[in-house]
Amino acid sequence: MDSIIKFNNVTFEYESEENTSKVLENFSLEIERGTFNVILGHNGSGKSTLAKLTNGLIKAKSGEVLVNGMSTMDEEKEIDIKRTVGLVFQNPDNQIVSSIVEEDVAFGPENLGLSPEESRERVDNALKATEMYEFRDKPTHKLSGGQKQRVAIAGIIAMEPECIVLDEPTAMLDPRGRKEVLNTILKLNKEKNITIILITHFMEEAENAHRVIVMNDGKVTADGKPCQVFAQTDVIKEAGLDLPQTTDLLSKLKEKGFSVSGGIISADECVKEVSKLLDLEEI
Amino acid sequence: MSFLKVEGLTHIFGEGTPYSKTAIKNVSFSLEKGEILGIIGHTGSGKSTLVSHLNGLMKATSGKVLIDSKDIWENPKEIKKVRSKVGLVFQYPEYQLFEETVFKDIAFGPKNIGMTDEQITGSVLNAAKLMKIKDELLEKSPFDLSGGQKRRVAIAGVMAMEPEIIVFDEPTAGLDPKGRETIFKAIYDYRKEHNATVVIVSHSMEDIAAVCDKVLVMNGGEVAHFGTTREVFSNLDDLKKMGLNVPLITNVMLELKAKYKKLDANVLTVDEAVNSLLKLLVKGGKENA
Repeated sequence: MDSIIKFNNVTFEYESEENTSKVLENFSLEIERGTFNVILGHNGSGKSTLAKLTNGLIKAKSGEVLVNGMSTMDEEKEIDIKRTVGLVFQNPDNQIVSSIVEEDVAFGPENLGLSPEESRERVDNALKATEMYEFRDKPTHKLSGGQKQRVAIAGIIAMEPECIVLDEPTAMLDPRGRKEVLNTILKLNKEKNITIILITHFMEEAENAHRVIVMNDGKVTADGKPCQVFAQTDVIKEAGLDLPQTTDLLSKLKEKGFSVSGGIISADECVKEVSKLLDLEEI
Repeated sequence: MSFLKVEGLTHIFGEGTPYSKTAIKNVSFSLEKGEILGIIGHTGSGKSTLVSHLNGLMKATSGKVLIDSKDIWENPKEIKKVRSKVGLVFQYPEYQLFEETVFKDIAFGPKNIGMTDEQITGSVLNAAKLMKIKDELLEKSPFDLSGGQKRRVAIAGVMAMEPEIIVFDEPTAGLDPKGRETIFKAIYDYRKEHNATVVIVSHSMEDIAAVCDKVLVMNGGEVAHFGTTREVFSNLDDLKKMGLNVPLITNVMLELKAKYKKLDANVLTVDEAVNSLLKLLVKGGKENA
């Protein structure tokens, strides 16, 4: 596998005065270049820790995290690593630094020491990629949550990373905002071939992923294509996740003894699957 | 006799200025004691403006809010009393924690409405129990808690005032399924214990369908639908036009009904859908049949 990110036996713990809690223990994972990966897990399952470890924002207690073969422990590689992997967080309001959209997106490139012309070009391209170009001269505080989140993503794209890690980027958005952000992420993967690691607890967002990884208690409990992972309803419930209603319906029909295929999320496929059963009846 | 009644409520921001904007227009609905209302509508449809009127946090340009047949603005000097009757839990209430300990934070509201120390202790402990906040957390700083715990502390702070009407603006936004379940269970328990009227603003049609007795749909500041949850969610086409939806399962069943007329598609939950399908699935399809 041509991997862009590699976790080798990583252990990480948070220490407080009273106790230490291990979040990840001997955790290993490889992410293939150019793929769209979704990591599912409940709050406290270790998925945000994983996100921050990917670009060295926090460091492993033992084991190593490699980005394009560079260890996040190697201080000399710190800047290279942060340019390779960009992070987007949950709360859009915490990630906006300027009062005007294009200035916010330009913050990163300007700090890279690029020429004004090149900065300009990168900012314009990033705003176009996230469909925020027409908002470029708008004040950031007047944007909706979904728009702010797309500005945050544009700010990362302007750094031209090879990989973007998004930690629950849609959790604070309304359904429309969620759709906007998700479409943007999909497009970046398809058109710019950027490796995506999307961390979420919305299973619906995993429908179009190349690979879905379920995390529970700092361990990977399921890993595979969406249809393979979603067919394991027990593992998903155990991980504290909700089955989408479509998946739930089919799994309950299966329990009753009907022959339906598992691992389905989309409404269309669910309708098709149930139709097969209804077609056998004389109605 | 309805307990909470909203009559022709209109709110115009900046009236008489060039920036004048009508946020809500002629909104009317009524609820009985113990009923749970869900308010849906996309961002900017006026949901938050509407709920801010229910405890007199905002004063309407025209129209009335009646609680127990009494206009809440009848005596403006007594509007504070209304605030102890109607609790408002804002979006992301965990950002509003400020006290030294969890106990003090939950006690802040009850203290402000003049409960005695004994009453305060009782209501704080009860609210903490409802919100599944363990005793050992009560003496901790609220800032040492996890996000989900902070949210529960903030909600307990409103419940501890023992309001007869309690309003939640997106109570589960950003929480994982387990966190969502804990909060909905607590809302149910609170309603049962106090026979309280509950209003929940949410973007999740599935949550609204599972929890609410009635649904109010806001669109462009006006009421587009008001009725029982089942009635409102039978208007798929209309809701879609407003950029809203019905629960995913209702959607699937309505699509199936287009093809199989005999199917009862009037369902709100997965279990109802399974039962409805089982009525038609009598013969085929079974494995090893």
